[in-house]
Amino acid sequence: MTELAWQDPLRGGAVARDGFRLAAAEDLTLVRLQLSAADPGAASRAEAALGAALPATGGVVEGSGCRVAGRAPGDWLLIAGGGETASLVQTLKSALAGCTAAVTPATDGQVALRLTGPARERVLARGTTLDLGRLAPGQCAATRFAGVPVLLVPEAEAMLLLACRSLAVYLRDWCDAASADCC
Amino acid sequence: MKPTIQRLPHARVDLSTPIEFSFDGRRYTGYAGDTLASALLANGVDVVGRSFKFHRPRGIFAAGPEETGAFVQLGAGARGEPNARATLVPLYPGLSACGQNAWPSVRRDLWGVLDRFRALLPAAFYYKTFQWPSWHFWEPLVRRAAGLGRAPTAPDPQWYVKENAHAEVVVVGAGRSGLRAALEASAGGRDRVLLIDEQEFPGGSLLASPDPADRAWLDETLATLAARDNVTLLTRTTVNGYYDHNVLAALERCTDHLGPAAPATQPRQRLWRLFAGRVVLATGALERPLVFPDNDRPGIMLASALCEYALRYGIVPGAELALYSNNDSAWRRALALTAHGVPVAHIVDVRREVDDALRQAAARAGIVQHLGHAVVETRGDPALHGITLQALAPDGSGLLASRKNLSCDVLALAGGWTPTVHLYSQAGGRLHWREADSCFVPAGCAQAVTVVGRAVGDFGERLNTEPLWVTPGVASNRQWVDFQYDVTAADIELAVRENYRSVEHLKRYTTAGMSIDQGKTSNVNALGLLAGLSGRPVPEVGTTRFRPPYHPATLGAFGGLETGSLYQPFQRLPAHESHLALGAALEDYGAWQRPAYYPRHGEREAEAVTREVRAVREAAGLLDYSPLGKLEVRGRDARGFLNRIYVNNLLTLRPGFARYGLVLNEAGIVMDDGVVVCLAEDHFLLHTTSGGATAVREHLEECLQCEWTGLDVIVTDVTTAWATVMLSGPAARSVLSAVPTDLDLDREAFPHMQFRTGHFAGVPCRVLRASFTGEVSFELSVPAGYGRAAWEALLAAGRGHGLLPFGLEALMVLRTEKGYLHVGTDTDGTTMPQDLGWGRAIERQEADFIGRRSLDLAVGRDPERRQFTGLEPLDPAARLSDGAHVLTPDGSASAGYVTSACYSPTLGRTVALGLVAGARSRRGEVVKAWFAGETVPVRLVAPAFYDPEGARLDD
Repeated sequence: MTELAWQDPLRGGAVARDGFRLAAAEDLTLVRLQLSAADPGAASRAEAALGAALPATGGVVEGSGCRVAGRAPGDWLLIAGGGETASLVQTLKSALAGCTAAVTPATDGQVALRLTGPARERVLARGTTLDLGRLAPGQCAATRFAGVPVLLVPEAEAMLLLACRSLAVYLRDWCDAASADCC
Repeated sequence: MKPTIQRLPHARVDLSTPIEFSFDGRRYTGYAGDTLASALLANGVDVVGRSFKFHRPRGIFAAGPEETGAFVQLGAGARGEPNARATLVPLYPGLSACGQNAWPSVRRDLWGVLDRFRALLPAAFYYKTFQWPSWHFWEPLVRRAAGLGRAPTAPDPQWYVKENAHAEVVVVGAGRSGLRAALEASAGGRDRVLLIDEQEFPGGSLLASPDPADRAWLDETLATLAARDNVTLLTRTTVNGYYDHNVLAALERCTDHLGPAAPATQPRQRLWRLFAGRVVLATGALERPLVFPDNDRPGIMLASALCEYALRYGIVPGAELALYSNNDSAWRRALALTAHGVPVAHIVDVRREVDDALRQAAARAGIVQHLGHAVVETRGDPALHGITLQALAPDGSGLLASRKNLSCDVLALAGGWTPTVHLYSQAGGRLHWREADSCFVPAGCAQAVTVVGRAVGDFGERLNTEPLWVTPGVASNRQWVDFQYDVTAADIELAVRENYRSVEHLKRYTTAGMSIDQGKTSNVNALGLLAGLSGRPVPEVGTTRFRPPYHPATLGAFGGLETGSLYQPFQRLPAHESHLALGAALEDYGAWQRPAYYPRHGEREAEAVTREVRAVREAAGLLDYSPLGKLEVRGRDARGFLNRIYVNNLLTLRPGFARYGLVLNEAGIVMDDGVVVCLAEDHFLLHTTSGGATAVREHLEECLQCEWTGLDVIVTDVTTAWATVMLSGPAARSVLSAVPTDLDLDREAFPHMQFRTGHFAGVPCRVLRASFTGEVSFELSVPAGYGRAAWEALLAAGRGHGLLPFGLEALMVLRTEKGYLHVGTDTDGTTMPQDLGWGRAIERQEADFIGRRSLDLAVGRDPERRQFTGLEPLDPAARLSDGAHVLTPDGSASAGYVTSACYSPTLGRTVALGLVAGARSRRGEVVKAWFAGETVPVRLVAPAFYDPEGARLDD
C-alpha cells in the first residue's frame, strides 16, 4: 500500500489564456519501448502485443489501448490511458521475454503537457524551428523546443508536448511568457 | 524651407486625423500616415540632427532606411531609443523626439565649433594624435564630442519575442515587383508565401505614385493577396540577414507605431527566423547623392526623397526647387513633380547632352535647364537658400570659368541608382559592375534566390548615367561622401595617398560606410572615387562585404524571452518545494537548481556548511541526489560493451554488486566516473556524475551507433525517472529503518557496494550502498513522482536521530576530507587514470578499453605528470584557494595547482586536493602554494585525510 503522495510535475500550475492553454495531461501514462536492432525477432513480438505495426521514426499509430509514437530508430513512446502502465508494461515484458528489449515506465521520468487553443501553434513556433505546418496527427517529432529536447505529438485540437519531468516547470513558465499576447 | 500649410490632394495621409507631437520641446501637428520626417518637413523644420564628427547641421535627406542625418532621440527614460531614423518612425499621438549629439540643441549646437577645426581632424586623425600620454586619456573627451544618441540606463520594461516561420516562397519587399512575385507564387494556392515589407504599408514606390492606375492596381493586388489563405503579409518588418540554406532573419516592429499607448501584452518587437524554400528579393534600389562642396546642407536631399515627400505625403517642402542630376531618371521625376503641383524650377545636369524628348518636355513644363554644369557652392545659414553653378570642362576634368548663382531652398540630388543587393550579397551572391548604369547588380548565387525589379537593375527606364564621383576643380575637403560619419572626398584622397588601396582598408581607415546607415548612399561613391584615385576600374576595386544586419536591430529582440528566470532552461528537483520550505540557498549546478546549503536564521554559509558536515559525521544527513546520472544498459553484449567503456574489469561483477569505475575518452583522458551496478547478467545500471549524465549517454550511443553497430545493447537514460536521496552518516541505517520497507538493511545482509530493489513506504525503490561522504550511506531512489514525499518521509523519520538536510557545499567538504575524487573539479583535460593512482589496476586489466592505447604513449608514462595528491598547509589555520599554484622547488614556475580546498570542521584544519607534478613520489615534501601574490607552505600527502582505512563505511 502506497503511503507516499504522488506529485504532479507542474505542481498544479497551468497556463490558461483565451487563446492558449497548457496543462499536464494527467489522463495519460507513458511507457518507453526500445528494441535492439541485433534482435530481429523482437519487433514482430512487440507488434503482436501492441496490435499494430511499429511506426517508423516520426510516425504515430493507434495500437490496442495505446498510441505508439516513433521517437527514434528502435525507440518508441507508448501513450496510454491513465492507470494502464502496469498492464502495458507487463504485457510487453511477457511478449518480449528472452528478447533484448527495454520496457520502461516513463510516466515519472517524462511530463506530458497538452497545449490547446487557437494560438498554440504560434506559441510552439516561438520555441521550435520545426515546420509545424507539416506536422499532422499521425506524425510526431523529436525536436528542440525552448532550448530543451521534446517530443511533439499532434492531436486533433491540441499538441502533446513530452519532455523530461524536471523541465516541466521551466516549460510551463516559458510557454506562459511566450503566450502573453495570446489573450 | 517653408511649412506646408495644406497637403496636396493626392497625399496618402489621413487629414481627418491630426496628430500632435513634439520635437526638441516644440509642439507640432502632423497626420495619421505621416512619418516623423514627413511631419517635420511639413512643419518646416530644417535642422533635425548634427553630424557625427563635426556637428554640422543636418536636415532630412532621405525618406527611408538610407537616411543619413535625421537621427533623433525618441522618447525618454527606460523606453527611450537613441538613433531612431525620423524617416522610419511612424507618427503616433504623444510622440516626443529631440535632436541628439548636440548641446544645447541641434539648432544651436556649441559643439559645432569643431567644424572650424576640420583641417586638424582628417580621417583617422586619432591614429596619429593623442599619442601622449595615451589614447585612453583622451578617449572620454572624444567619445563625448563625437557620438550619437544616449542608450537608456534603466531596464527595458518592454518585452520581445522570437518566432520561426516556414514558407515555400519568401518575398522580400512589397513594392510593385514584390507584389507581382507574390501574386505569381501564391496563384496555385498550395505554396505558402510570406510577403515582407519594412514600411508601415505595402506598396513600396507605388505609394508615391499619384497615378490613379497605379493606386487602383495596388488596391486590387493587396485585396487579391489578402483573399488567399496561403499568403501572409508582414509589414513593419525588415529582413536583416540572409544566411545559408535560405534562412532569413527579420525584425518586426510590432508596437513601435503605437508609442506609449502600446499594450503591455504585446511584444515590442519580434525577431523572425524564416526558413524559405525559395527567396524572391524585391528590395528595390537606393538613390545616390552627388559629391560637391557643402552638399550636406539642410534643404539638400535625395530626389527620391523629394518625390516621396511630395507625391506620397503631399508636401511641398520649398518655394524654389532644383534638381541636380547625372541621369535621365531625375528628368522624368522632375516632370512628374511639376505635373502634380510641385513645380521644379531648375534642373542641373553634369551631362552636356540629354535626350531631346526629355529636354523638350522639361522646357514645356517651364523647367530651366543647366546642362554640363556642376554645383560648386551652396549657400544658407544653415538651411539652403542658393547654389552656384560652374560649367564642367568637356573632358570632365575641371571647371570652366563661367559661374552663375541660382536661388533655391530645396536641392534634390539624383546621382544614379544603387540596387539594394545587401541581402543578395549576404546570401553569397556575386555582384557584377554594370558600367552603363554605374552600379553593382546580382550575378549569380548558389542559393535558391531570385532578384526582381530594380534590385536586379531592372529600372524600367533608360538611365544614361554619367558618373561624377567628385566635383573637379574645387576643394575636396568640403565635398561629403559619407554624410553621417563626416567622411569627405579629401579623406578618401588622404587614405589613397597613404596607400590604403584595399576597399576594406579604406573603409576602416576613413570610416566611410561604417555608420548606422552602413554606407547605403555612400559606398558606391566612395568606390568610384577610390577607383579614380588609384587608377583602377571599379570592378577591380570591388565592394566591401555586406554583413547582417541590413538595418540596426534592438538587442532586446535577440534576447527574446531568454531574460530573467528564463535566461536558460532550468531543471527542478522533485523535492524543490520542500527545499524552499527549509530555507535552502539554491544555486545553479548545470541546469539544476540545487540546494547549496540550508542556512538557519542569521547563519552564514560557512556556519551552515559546518553544521551540516558535523551532522553527517556524527548523526545523519540527507542530500537530494536526484541529478545523479542513471543509465540502464541491457542486452546480450551489455557486459562486454561496458568492459570496453570502463577501465575496470566488469566481467566479474555479479548481480546485486556494484563497482566504482572510470570512463576515458579515446585520448585516455578521464571523462567521468561512477558506480556500475549489475542488476542481472545482461542488465546494468550506471551511475554517472550529475553533470556527466548526458555526455556519458551520448558517448555510449556514439559507440553503439558509429563504432560497434552490431552489438546487442540498449541504453536507457532514467536519470529523471528516479528521484534519489543520499542518506549518510552513522545513524543512516536507523533512520531508513524507521520507514516501512521490505529491504533487509542489516549490515551483514546489505554491505557496502551492494544494491537492492524493494519497496519504500509502499512504492518501488532502488537502494545502493555506496558512499561519497566517507560514512555509511544509502542512495535511495523512488519513482520521481514520489520524490518529494520520500524526502519528507525520511526527514520526519530522522527527527529523533539528529538527521539534517545537507547541501552540495557540505558534500564537497565531506568528500574532500575523505579524498574522494570529483571528476571535472580534481581532473582537467590532461588527467589520465595513472595520475589518479590507477596505474597498477590498469596493468592488471587484460581486456581492451577505450583510451588504453593512448595511455601507453610516452606522454602517459612521464613520471613528472601531474598526479592527484593531498595537500596540507603546515599552519592548520592557513587558508588555501582553489586554483592556487603549487610552485616548483625553485619557485620559478607552476608544478600544478590546488583543485579542491576547504576548511575541515571534522579535522579542525584546512585540507586540499590537487594535481602536482610527480606528487606520489614526493609525499612528505613541503612545497609552496601561490595565490594572488601570497604563498602558503604545504605538505604533499596521501589524498585521504579522514578515515583512510575506510572503517566507517561499513559500520
